[in-house]
Amino acid sequence: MTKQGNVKLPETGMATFHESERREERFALPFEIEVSGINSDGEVFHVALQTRNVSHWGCGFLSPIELKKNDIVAIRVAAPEGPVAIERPMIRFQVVRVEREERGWAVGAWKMEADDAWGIELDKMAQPQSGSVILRRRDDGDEPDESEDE
Amino acid sequence: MSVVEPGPKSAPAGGTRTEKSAGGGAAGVEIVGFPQILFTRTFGDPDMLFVPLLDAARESFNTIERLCGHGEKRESAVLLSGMQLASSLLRDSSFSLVARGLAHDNSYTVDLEQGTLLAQTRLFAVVSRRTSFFKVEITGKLGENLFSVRNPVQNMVIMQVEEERLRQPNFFSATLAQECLRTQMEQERLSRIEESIGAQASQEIHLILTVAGTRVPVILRQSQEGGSWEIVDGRGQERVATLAPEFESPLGSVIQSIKERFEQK
Repeated sequence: MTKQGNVKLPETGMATFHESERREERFALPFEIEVSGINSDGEVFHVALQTRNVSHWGCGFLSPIELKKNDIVAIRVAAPEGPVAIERPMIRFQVVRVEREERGWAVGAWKMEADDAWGIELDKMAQPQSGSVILRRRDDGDEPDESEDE
Repeated sequence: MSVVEPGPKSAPAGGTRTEKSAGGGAAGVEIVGFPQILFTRTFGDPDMLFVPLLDAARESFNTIERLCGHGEKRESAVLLSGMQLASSLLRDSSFSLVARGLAHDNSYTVDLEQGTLLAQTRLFAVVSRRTSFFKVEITGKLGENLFSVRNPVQNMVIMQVEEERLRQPNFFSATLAQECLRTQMEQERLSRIEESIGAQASQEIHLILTVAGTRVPVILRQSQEGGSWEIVDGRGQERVATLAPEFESPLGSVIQSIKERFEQK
């Protein structure tokens, strides 16, 4: 289900907003991120890649490693180079969507913590993507109904 | 890795502050440091969840040391292993993420940093026509195989249980509940000990012994002064044996020593 328009997000409760709706604007910003987790063989991975799009509470990226829906991964925005670079914290995201693509897996992930992942105000960096407002709903174990326009 | 066998789809996990048990009961699983609670509506009963959760938590706990051995910072290894545990739970369709702060019928807390598992539940038992419903906490270290069962209301350890026994089918609802109630009844009986010292007994000694991990009340009873001592199972006041004569003299010395202490007091 897709809706357009500016939708203000409630700051509290979004991390556990599974049971109702999630709506927010998405921005086509290529953040350099490090995605970390433990794969199905129990081996840790740290993968450096770029986001395809981000929102305050989520992001999309192309992963060279297969991830599964509901996997939890830690994402850290790469620190800018320079003498005053400060390493940003790892923030946990829940994988909510995985689609196989030719060069990897297109992953949509939802932030589980209230901490700011990106360190900037997204709407000052770019315009929202057209048709990018996401509406996600989960009822009675149904699959999330969501739109993607990466 | 899936922690529990696939089950029916869960009802909406959040949005309400009440929960109703269905089938195996509801539960919240807290992974210390994890931002949310993993909730199951149908697999929360300790007979269903305790052992699979223990195994999964132990695997994640072992992962920490392995990751540290490969150069991962400990803080990062704890975070990653917690994510691994949460992912394994979420792979089962009955689990979902909910906010902290809700009360659950059964609560489990996994502390991967400390290497501990705590389960809080309520047990129901009927012993000797007495029915009781009471809270217990089962706690232990992931690196060991001995767990303590506590009464959180009385802040008292009821018994210690080996992991092998916890793995027996229906251990929590059947065996543990019965043993807890028996222990509670015995403690109540001991609290009335002054009344319970029989007129027919000349002397009595009450003991609590740990036998194969279970606390057993035992009474040494001497019917008449200078007579033999009977060993009685305090749970059912059942005579077990007569104390061997060679132990009567040392026991008499212990009793005499205590008598002298009281006389001096």
